[in-house]
Amino acid sequence: MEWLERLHEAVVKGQKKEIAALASEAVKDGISAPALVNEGIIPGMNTVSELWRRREYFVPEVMRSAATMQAGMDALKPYLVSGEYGRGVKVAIGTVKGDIHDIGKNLVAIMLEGAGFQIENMGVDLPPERFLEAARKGAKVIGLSSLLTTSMDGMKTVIQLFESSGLRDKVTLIVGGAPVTNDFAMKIGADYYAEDAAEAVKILNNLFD
Amino acid sequence: MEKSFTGRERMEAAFNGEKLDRVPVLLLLGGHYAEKAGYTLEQFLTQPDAALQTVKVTCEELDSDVLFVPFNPLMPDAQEAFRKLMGKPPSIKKVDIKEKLPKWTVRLPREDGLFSGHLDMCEKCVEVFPDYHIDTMIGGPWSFALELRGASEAMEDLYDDKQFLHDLMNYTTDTVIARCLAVMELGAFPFVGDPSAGMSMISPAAYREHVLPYHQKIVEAVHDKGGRVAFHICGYVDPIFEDLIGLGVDGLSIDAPSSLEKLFEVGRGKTTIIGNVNPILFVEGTPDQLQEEVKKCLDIAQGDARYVIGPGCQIPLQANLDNIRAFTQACHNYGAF
Repeated sequence: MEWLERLHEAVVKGQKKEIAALASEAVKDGISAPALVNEGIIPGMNTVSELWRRREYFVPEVMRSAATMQAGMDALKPYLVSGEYGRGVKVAIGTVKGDIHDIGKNLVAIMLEGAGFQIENMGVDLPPERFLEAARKGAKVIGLSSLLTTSMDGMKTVIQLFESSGLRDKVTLIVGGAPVTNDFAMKIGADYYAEDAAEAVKILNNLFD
Repeated sequence: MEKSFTGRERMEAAFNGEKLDRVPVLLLLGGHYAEKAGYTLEQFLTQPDAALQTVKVTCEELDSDVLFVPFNPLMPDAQEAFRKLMGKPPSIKKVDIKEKLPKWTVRLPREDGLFSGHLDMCEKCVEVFPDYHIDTMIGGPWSFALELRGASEAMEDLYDDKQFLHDLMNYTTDTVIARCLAVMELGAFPFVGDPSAGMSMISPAAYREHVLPYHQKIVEAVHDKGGRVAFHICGYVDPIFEDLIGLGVDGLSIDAPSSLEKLFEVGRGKTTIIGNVNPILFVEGTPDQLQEEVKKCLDIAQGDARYVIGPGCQIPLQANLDNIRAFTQACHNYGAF
């Protein structure tokens, strides 16, 4: 099987333990690292996103594939010249204050990293100031996650803080999480609402292409 | 004069497949009326008296048939408040769980400081609100397992350490059974909520391998003691409807992303179906929209005796109280048999 196809399949099947060796062999066989990323690994994740949309893949499968993708990317990093891959766009993502759920947020982080964004995954239960700090340190996109209806309003607090600090126009604010809806997102002043990780990647890809 | 039935009677009838006057109404509420009762949300979540008074006010404001026992450390919004109160970190994740699990024994509910307080509240509610069907939400074994292990780690275990997950599920299931039996002894009805067990999280195949046998164990344990149990799984669960019905649960509560129509197609008469108006409508919707949703649900139910109308999940705390009232009124107006 051709190397690109093998890497694609490894990501789709979640072959996390095998992909690093596959990637290294492919490089030794003369395939360029950017090609392996852009034509093998990332299309693999796109296939996974499609399987998720068709409800054939669920959270564990997507996470496994995302972890596999990450393992493949890590193996290829030494062979990637700066600028060959990645957009130079920094995304800071975290779960708002009062909420310790992180699985969806982590999935978004991994998939955005796979799509070439520089990710700062800030964790959970974050005070609003933390997001502001990330913007001051160069994040162009701020991702807010909430899984509880009781902590959703924390997203509004973060956005209000950006407005009062004069940084609102410097960032793109994207929100998501189980109880969050597009209506809610627009009401609190977010720029975008992402229903899931695949949607987040699509939105930011469109924004920064 | 027509007899007016109690909520308890209506719910019993719904479980027995009998019709009284109207479709019962189940509202999964928390501290929505705490402010009206003169308390803060934190007081409602952490002080038994505040919780009880809030429930009294809730009952005066609404005419629901079911009362969910407050002061419940297993409800997500209560967990953080309780843990803060006890000076503990918000997460119960155990990083060394693989080493510790073999030594764990199931803690008796009365030995659990937080749950013991909830048992006292169950007892109190049964005494003070005899006309209501007194339910309490018991966290399900899979979601409990994910909290202990860490959700991301458990997702990896589905690939790399299935046996560990089974061992963990044995522990959490036995804990859930102990809690169900403890509340039943006090006259409360166990409502097992396993939010992470649906397809919004795991695949149908993963549910069948890692969760279904344990849900079955819970149902059998409750039935062996002559009790009844309802299950609720958040999110989308259409692909496992038949599995859930096959458990023999007495009540099955579904969330808004699941299809009430499909559930009636496969489950009519086999269990008491509960749900499934979108909870977000209570925040963002209007009374007219809620009324339409009530009518839609009742149309689907077609006057089935084994149907209880309610929101798909817990009504958000930000809900407009007028919406809750309007919803309940619509259920009464249109739910007559």
